[in-house]
Amino acid sequence: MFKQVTFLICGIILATMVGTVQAEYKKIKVLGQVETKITKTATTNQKKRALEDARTKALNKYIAGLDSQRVRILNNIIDQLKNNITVYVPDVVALDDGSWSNGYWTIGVEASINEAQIEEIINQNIQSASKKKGEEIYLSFVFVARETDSVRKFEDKKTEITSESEAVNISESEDGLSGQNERVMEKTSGGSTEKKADKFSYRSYIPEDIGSKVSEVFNKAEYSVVEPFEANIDTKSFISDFVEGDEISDVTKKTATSAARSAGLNYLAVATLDVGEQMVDQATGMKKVYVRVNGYIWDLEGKFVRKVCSVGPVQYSGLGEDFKVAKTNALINAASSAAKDLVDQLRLKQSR
Amino acid sequence: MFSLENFGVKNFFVFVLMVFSASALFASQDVKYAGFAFVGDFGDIATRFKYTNILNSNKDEDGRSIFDKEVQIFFQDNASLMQGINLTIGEDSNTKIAMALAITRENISIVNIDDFYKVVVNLSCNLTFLNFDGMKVVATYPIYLEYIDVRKTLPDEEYKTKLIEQLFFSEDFSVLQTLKGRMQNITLKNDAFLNMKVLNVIVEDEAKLNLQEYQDNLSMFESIIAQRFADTLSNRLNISFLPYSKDYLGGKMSLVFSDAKVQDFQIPDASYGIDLIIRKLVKNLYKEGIGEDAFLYGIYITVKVYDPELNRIYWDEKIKFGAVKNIPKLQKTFDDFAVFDEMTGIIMVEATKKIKEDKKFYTEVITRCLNK
Repeated sequence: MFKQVTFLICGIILATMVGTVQAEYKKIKVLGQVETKITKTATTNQKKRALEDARTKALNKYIAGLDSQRVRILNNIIDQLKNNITVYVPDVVALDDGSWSNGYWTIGVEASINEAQIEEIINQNIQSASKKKGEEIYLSFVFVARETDSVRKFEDKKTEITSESEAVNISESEDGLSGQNERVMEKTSGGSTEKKADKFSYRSYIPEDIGSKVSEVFNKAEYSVVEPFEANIDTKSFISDFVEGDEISDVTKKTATSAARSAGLNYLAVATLDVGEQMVDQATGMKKVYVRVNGYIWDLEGKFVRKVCSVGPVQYSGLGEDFKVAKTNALINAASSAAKDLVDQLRLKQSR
Repeated sequence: MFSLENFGVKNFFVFVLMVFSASALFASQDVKYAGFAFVGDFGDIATRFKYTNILNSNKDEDGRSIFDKEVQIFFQDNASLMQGINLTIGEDSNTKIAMALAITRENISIVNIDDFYKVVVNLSCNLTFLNFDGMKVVATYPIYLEYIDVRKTLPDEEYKTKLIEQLFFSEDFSVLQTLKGRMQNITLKNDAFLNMKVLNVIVEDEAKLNLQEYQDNLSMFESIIAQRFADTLSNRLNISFLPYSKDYLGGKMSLVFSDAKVQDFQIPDASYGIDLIIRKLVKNLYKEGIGEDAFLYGIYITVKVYDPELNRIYWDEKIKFGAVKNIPKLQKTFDDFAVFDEMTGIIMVEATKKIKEDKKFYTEVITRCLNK
């Protein structure tokens, strides 16, 4: 009896462990097809082949829907994906019982794409390509943000010119000139308006909230993230440059890349994030902030420092219960999206 | 030292049997109760759900509205009726799946007929399952309620508010009572099962002429019909449904919860799409009598189940339904729309019957969407 109770407890523990976890897969609809010359129905084996065909088509359709950088990366490893297709397209669910037409048996299928596994193979592939020499790839990043501190508004300067003239109309009758005169007054006004752009002053800073998110993106892509201070990169000069203008000055760039090269870094990523106006989202009633991002990565290896990939300008928004939360969300969205895009481009360069 | 010999073959089989029995017992999905919500833009709540919002704005000393209290009590009492769902209410839970009762439409129309006022109330709600991991709608169970009343006096605001309250919470005919009757069919299927969605409701010109107050608000009529048809199919065929697409811009459904928090959820593409075309609503004199005339009312619809992405049509059927109504000659006006409205409900049931009768289509498509 004691044994049975023990078994039941073990069973319950095991059952709870194998509970109903719902995997999040992307769904793709495709038609699977197989040639059936002799009959208008498909044999079990032919049906199986049609489902395999659907798996391959689902993978192709999924890849075709991605951005161009990702398409290039996946095209490089397409054979690896197709050789283990059941890992990347784990489920195919038939939408119908299949139909025959013109020598082909066709079945509609809803296929599941395991995006997590696809991300994993991209990482493995890049890792193996870049670690051929058995070296870590060191990368540091400086993501600097700015927002309006004050705005000096200028009223439009208006110049008005007014001129008045008087005309006399005299009508003529058969008897000669009539005594009825008509007076018409004409007033002409004109001038110009001189517009002067509002003067903005900015506050620039390195947003702490986005550091861990950006690090996560680079780390997941198997880059060893090095803090800027470890490589003697002066982030303050980036901050002061971005207060004064839209660009980072050449002097700052040169100093930063030299320091990074001396420290043995392979790459340095830089992004500027411009926090836009605050507004209320009409759909949700929540506060909304837009952030515009520009970014690039320098390859520090070789004779010259080269800009190997770039992103932007792209705008991202963030929502929040107050403007502070909305701004943080917008900065995180913009920074992590830019980092992902840069990583994809860098992976592509490395895989060549 | 563990070995199969020590363990005993008999005991091993007992163990395996117990594991599977326990699996069956415990294979339920943890779901967090998320509360009552409004579907739509935050700024539109006070106008789109006027009376529900009035009721929801009345808070007790704990800051809870009648919806916060009564809906929660309802689920506490009835959650166990759902299949394979372990609903946690007011407790911490690690699950990413949540369930909310969301109102999608509140409509009260008043029509003056002779010396009477006809009050028609349409309430549409969804029991919605949401996945906060990916912010997606997992499944919805549509509930449609129509209430018609005839009054001698023009209904005031207090009457309308009270009526909405009754239509949500009364013991005989209400949203919660309708939901209670369906609780045992509510389940959360895994990803391998398929679902349906009403994609389009198309009202053709010959039908538009008889829409009365909806003639000037066709999109509202289409939305009500979509919800009503989804409710009929979901309930009578026990199939899994996703919300009507056209109610949600960009496939995103905004839920405004009672605490004013707003969350956007993506409505995934459905496995199968449904188009409901209302082709004709007709009224013809059938028989002229001495004291009354007999009129033949007819409704003609087409139901199409298809896949727009794969360009496959699975079912495309024309259905019609007719009824004779005797109208006294002395009656000055007659509410034709009430007849068409009643017949719309009947023809939807007729459509489900035809679907069930079509064995090939039922086996090929419907069985793939069953809530099992």
